Amino acid sequence: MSLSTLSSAVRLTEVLWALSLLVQTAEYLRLEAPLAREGVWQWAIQREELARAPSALRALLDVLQTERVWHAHLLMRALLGVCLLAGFVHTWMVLVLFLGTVVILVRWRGAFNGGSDFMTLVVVTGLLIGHAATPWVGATMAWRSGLGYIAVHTLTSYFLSGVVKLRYRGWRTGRALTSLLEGGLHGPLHRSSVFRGKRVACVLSWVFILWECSVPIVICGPRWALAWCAVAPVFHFMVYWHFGLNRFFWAWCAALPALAVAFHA
Amino acid sequence: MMLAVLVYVVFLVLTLWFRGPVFNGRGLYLLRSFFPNWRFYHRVTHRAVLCTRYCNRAGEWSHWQPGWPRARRRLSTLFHNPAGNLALVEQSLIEHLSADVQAADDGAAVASLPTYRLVSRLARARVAASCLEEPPVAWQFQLCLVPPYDDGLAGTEVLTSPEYTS
Repeated sequence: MSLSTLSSAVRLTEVLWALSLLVQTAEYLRLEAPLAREGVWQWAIQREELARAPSALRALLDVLQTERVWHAHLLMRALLGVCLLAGFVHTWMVLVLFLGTVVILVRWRGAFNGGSDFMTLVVVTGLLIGHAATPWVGATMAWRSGLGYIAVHTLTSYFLSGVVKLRYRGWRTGRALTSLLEGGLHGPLHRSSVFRGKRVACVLSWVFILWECSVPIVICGPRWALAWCAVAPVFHFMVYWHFGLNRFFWAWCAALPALAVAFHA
Repeated sequence: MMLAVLVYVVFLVLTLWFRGPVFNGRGLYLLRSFFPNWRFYHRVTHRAVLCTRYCNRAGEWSHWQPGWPRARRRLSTLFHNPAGNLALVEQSLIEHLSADVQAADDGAAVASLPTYRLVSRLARARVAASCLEEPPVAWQFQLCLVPPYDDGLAGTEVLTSPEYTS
């Protein structure tokens, strides 16, 4: 892997993760009311789940969850996201973004949007590894490690997600897909929806499964990896369109540059 | 490198049959993003649904209203989707309460769980949103499990709250 390829992948990862961060932060800013004292997600109730945490940590979280501090934190994340997008990055900024991500996830009881939170955390961890390790082991080794961390998780995410579906009869017959769309964010399905057709649902399920299970081909060579990663955003866009999972689109797009280059040293 | 990745892929497949110990704990739950399992939608199981009803000033109770996570499909939501994502996180909370209720040994203790209290606030907010013209005098919520496939099977009630006065 040439240094230029590596540095291009790092830069692209930073830009895409920054876009993902800005999308998420704009949404969190719109969702301050449900987190307020009168809202559904009252911190006074949620903090009981941290009863066994050290008192200093609880006190720190109490301060961070106050409405003003929460708002200021989100604005700071947006600002850091813009800096990241512009290429103005320091290790401390990535560390602050990493820690802030953890605080936000704790506020939403561990995850706001499931898988997209997991991948957001994976990519910022990879960025943190790259930035923090550079002074110690040099840029090439540091970024190989950082992007490698992201790539292994990304490969795992697709492959496991595909193989577990393969084991489940409902997915093999297509019935699961119809049921999930029926109960999904844009459900229920229209009476004449093509997804109600057993054959269509079955074919699409198999496309879904085979696509996810095929991810190990990214190790076959840089061209295979690039081709696979070029198709991936289309797959995520379809998932977004049918399931309403916009954050998944951005979170996984941010991980794709690492998947494209990390296995071809 | 290729061999290492192939060995890893084989390891991943093996983990589907040979599972290690399961670690539980509230703290671990809050930090679960550090231990992603990546098994999205792998099983289609019963769906937990929050149903609410309210009583008006005449003392008449409404029908149970099921609350499904729903949002309009628009391309702009690719960039900004707070309502859709809030609906999804609320559904996760409802499903978590459903799991807590089924795991609870003592039914009476359920009401003290943070999940119950948060869902209770969610139910109250949904009732308030559904009767803007005349505030209800009382309200109640119920948690039901709906079968995954449309097999004509009825939903199962797993929890009915007491009647709360507004």
